[in-house]
Amino acid sequence: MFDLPVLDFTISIVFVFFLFSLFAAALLELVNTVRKRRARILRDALDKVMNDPQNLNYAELLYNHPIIEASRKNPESLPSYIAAENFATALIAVITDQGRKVKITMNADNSAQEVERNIISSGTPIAQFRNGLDTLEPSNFQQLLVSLSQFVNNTDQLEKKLITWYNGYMDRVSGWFKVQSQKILMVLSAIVVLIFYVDFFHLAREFWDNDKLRNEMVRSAVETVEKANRPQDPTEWKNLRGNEVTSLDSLKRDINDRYALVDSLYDNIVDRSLPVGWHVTKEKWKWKGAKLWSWGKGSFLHELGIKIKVLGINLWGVILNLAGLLISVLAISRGAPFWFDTLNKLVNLRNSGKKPKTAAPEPANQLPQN
Amino acid sequence: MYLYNAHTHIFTTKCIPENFLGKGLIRIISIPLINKLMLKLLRQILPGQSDFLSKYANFLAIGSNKNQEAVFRDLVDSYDDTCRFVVLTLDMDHMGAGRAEVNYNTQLYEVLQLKLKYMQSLLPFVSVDPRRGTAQELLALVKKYVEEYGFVGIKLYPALGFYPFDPNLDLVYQYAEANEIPLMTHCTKAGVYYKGKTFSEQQIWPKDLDGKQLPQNDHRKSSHLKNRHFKNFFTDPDNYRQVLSKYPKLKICIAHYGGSTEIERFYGKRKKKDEVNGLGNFYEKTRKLLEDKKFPNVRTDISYTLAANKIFPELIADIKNSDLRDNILFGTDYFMTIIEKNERKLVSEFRQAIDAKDFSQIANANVKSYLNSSFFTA
Repeated sequence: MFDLPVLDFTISIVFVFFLFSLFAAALLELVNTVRKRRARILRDALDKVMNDPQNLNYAELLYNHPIIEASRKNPESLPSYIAAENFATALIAVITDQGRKVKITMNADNSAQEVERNIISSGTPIAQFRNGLDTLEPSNFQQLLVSLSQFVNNTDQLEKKLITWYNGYMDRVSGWFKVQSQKILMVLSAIVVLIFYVDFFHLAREFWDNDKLRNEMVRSAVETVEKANRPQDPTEWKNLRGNEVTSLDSLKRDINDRYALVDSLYDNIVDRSLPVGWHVTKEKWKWKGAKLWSWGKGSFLHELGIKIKVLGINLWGVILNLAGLLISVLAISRGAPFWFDTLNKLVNLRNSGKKPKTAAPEPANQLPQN
Repeated sequence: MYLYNAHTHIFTTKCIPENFLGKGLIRIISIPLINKLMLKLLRQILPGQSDFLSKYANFLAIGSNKNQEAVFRDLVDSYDDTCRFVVLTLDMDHMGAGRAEVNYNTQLYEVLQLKLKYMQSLLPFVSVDPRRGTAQELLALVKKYVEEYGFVGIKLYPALGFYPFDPNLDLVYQYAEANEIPLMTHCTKAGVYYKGKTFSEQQIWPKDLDGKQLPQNDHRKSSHLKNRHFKNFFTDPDNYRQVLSKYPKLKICIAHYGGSTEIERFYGKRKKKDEVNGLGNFYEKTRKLLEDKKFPNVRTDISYTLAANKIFPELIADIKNSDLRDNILFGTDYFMTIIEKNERKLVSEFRQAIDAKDFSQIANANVKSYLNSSFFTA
């Protein structure tokens, strides 16, 4: 078993970033839920292809189609997920409908308006679809549908092609969602760093100098990794009657997990005196960092003659503080899975020889999820 | 007997171009949770004084309904009587405010689907904007919707950036006059307007229906005029004199009767304001058009205007006036009026103020005669 102070120091730092990145990920999930980001980005993505200026907004028609409408939670909400099969069926129906001829006329005695509907009963379903497609003005979306329906003989084949296209497109949409989420996570990380005042240099100094704190952090990190890597107890997934867990049970687990996260963060910050938070004193503001970087009298920098003071504030100290915060923001925004993997590897290295497991928690930003 | 509301809208915020209310604002307001929170907050923060703000939030709540059918259902539910509604579509694709999530073609398609579902109660008008296409293309659009899809009239909204005497509208007027198809045009100094950053040649130095250059009006060139002032050049009731001089039998409703503010100013109930562009009083101009015997088919409606209770005496006096009586239509301008009061209250307050006979005249006989055409009999 390795027992190197450098390794313990690194584990402590990584563990702190893991805790805060978990917290930032929970905030991101909250933002996603409140802003209905998954539903919105799905609609935006479909609008991008299907809002056809030369014709109609087929995304709007698709969303109002009974198949898709049924997946709305309430009339005002947008579905956050549309199954590929439903998409294909509804789109074929929407385009076929374009070929329907409607004529509304007055009754002979002018008493009421009557409707004559030509349901296009003649022809196979694929012919009816093509008939509808023919009514569209040339456009990118029309071209897309023409190319997808070009060499198919029936609507089953067309459905398969539409499903393949939709799944491929959704993979790209997931990518856009992740990129957007990364930007939001960066902002949330900055908020977390500012709220908890997570200064990387200050943390480093404390973990390096304080053996007791470092050992406690390492113990906590090892416990966390071992708990995460422990095989799931199959009975946990059964309720008291031995049935499969319900969605309510799953919700309770989710709430418990989130509570455990906040609890663990609280334990580490308060009980173990994690060196974060806004306990700013004049002394702390003039952070006594590693002697190498210190600006105090007799320090390395002082000896070099770097004494920058503006309005009585040591500018070098401020720069170091800001740099420490910035490093923390960048680190936390790397995401919980990254830090968990790193922590797992380091803890296994410390335990020497144990094969690392990649039990990284799923990122909370994949599309579609619900 | 049907009650007719000659002026309603059912488009949703999705039909409004993205830059109309500021980028992203519509989307945020459209989130039901935020909308409901806004309403609750306003009622809590400003109890008793939150009337306007809470009505504004209500307006946005209705406009944010998931589709036009939901808005229409809200409208129908506001009436106990058997009512038929003139539903005015609106082409906002050319108002210089960017793209809408639901473009005009989709709005029309959705209204057509609603027409098929609510055949008797929904009487749609097709909106025409001369910038959409050539005169022939506009005529084809109107003919298709009127002759095949059961739309009963044509809607113009000049404030979005065009003159009613635009040469591209000539064939539409010719067709409308020949077939007695009713036109409805927005005509007040209020309402939505052209948002473009620049003005076209036709907007500053317009040509008439025959394509002849009109005498140049220096006011239009005034650089200090903002869009909200400039739009009055588009909506000026006198613009219709040019149209009517060519098509005197055109059945056209110059909506809103000039607007309640203009009526108040005309009768000295409100201080007269110096006109930035000197166009005069729209109520006075509209009334002169109604009284002009050369144009027997000019109408107006009291939509939106009826939200101002203090002008009820003047409105009712005009309805009783034999020169005007047959040419004033009942309409509410739902759901724009939600900012003032809810539809049920709006109608009930007006009905309490007017004789049943007079109300029947404007909400039945007048609207029926206005709507009747070669293709539709009310």
